[in-house]
Parts: sequence; C-alpha cells; structure tokens
Amino acid sequence: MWHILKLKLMVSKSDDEILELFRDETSKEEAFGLLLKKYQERLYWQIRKIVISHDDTDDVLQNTFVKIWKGLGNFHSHSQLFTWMYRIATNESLSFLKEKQRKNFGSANGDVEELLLANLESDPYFDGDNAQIELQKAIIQLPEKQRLVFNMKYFDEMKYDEISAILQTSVGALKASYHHAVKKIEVFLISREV
Amino acid sequence: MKKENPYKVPENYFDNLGEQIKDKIKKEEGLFKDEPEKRSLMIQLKPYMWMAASILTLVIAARLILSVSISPEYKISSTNGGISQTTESIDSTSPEKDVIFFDDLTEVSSEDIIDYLSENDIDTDVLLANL
Repeated sequence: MWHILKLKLMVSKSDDEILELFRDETSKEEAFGLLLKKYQERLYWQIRKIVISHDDTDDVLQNTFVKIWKGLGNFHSHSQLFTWMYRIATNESLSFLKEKQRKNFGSANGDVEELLLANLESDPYFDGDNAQIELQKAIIQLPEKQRLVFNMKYFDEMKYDEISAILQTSVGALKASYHHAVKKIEVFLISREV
Repeated sequence: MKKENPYKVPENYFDNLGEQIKDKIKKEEGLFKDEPEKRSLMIQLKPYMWMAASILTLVIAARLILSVSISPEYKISSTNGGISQTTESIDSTSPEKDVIFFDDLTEVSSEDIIDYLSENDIDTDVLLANL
C-alpha cells in the first residue's frame, strides 16, 4: 500500500522537477525512471497509431526513449517536455516506416498503405469490430500528415495548439488537414457501406 | 461510430517496459552505470606513493651529498640489495656509525621505490617525520 502511494507521489512529479533531477548526476537515472513511468503509455499510443503493429511499436518506443535519454541533458524548457518527446516519437515512427518501406519495396516511395494494412491484418493485438476495422483502414489510406492530425485530434483529443507544437505546422494548416481527413474517411466508409 | 481504441497490448506490457528500456540503453550505449567502480587500495594510494618516493629520493640524495662532502674518506661499497651499510674505514664506535650509505639508491627507479614502499607499508608521515 505504502509502496503504491510512494510510487504515485514519485510519478506525479512535474516535468520541471524531473528535469531538475535529471541534470543532477546522482539522480539522473531516477529521473529517467520517472519520465518513463509518466510518459510510456502516451508515447506508446502515439507510435502505435502510426506504425499499427504492436511489435513495431515496441521497437520504436524503445528507440524513442534511448533518444530521449541522450537528448534530455540538452533539452531547454522553451518548449514543453511532452511536446518534445511526442515530436521524437512521431519522427522515429515515420523514419521506421520509411526504413520498412525501403526494405519491403526497395525504396522509401513504396506503398505505405499496403504496408500498414498488412500490419493491421496480421497484428494479434487488434480487437476491433468490423466498423472499427473499416475506420482504421480509412485512416490508413490518408496521406501521412492527415493521418497524424486525424489520430491526434479524433482519438487523443489533443488541442490544435499542442498538435501544432509537435508537428511544427500552423494551426490553420492543421485544421485544413483535419477537415480533408474527415471528408476522405466519410467517403471511404460510405463506399464500403459501413 | 465508437471512438474507443481497438488496439490492445500484451498483458503486463507496461509493467516491464521501463526495465527493458533501461536494459537496452545499458547494452547499446553503456550509459547507465552499474555500481560505481570500486578503486583498488593501491590505485587510490598511488599518488601518495609517488609523493613518498619523491621525498625519499630527495632525502637520499641530500644525505649522500652531505655525507660525501663532510667525510670524503668514506669508502662506499655496494651490495646486490642496493642498500649498503658497510664501510671499511669506520669502526663500530665511530660517531658516524649510524650513517647509512645510499649510493645505489640514486640509481633506483621511482617504480622500484613505490613497490618497496607498498610492500613495506611505509607511509608518508613517517618519511616526513624523519626529514
């Protein structure tokens, strides 16, 4: 009981407190542990929606945290910590997909939609009904930016300001992307009679 | 349409994730250090050994110079051990009987002196007290 309470108190440290701990060599690993506990799930889901498969997500998430460990010492708090970590997770996910495209198709211009559909169909950790499967397929066929924006806005209910900071795109452009994404998904679902 | 997340994760996945990531960092980068490496006693004492050796060398050199300049008739013999206490022209009642001749020690390297000191447990305070 006490152990759980202590853990909750530790996890509830603010980002600034964690950063301060990280900058001290004696508490660096403890701070990283707190950061892991605090953000591992949120970053997992950000990555999972981009790469789809759990196994790929696991790889990308681990690489993401390795980069966070390496870069955190140089992080300056002019941007929010979680924004910075989300950006790393997103970039790592997109790089991973490009690398996978290169391996599967011989070039990074290969069909990412095909790749993601294959991931969706083969992933044992997908438990959606037919309508959810169709929605995921509709999202997969979106262009990259629209796919990212739609997932962050629709599923994660993030504010445009937050998405803007992570993707480094203007709020206006994000709103346009989301609008286009919704339209395309509607068309896709109607065509599939969902 | 339901907005719920259709993706799942293996059971207890997040419970072990942190440790896996730390292990990965440890293996790939060696960034996480295990227990701080314990330095051996000799390594910790090495700087003091060097200091002691230097002081000893100075003492030997100074005493040799003084003894030679004061008593030029002293004949210095050498032994394999490097330290000679024998003189041919001094009898046991001579006031100089306690003089120790360190002729060969001037050619002894600092490493040898350090080894000697570490084996014989001579510390710097004792050396300084004998100056």
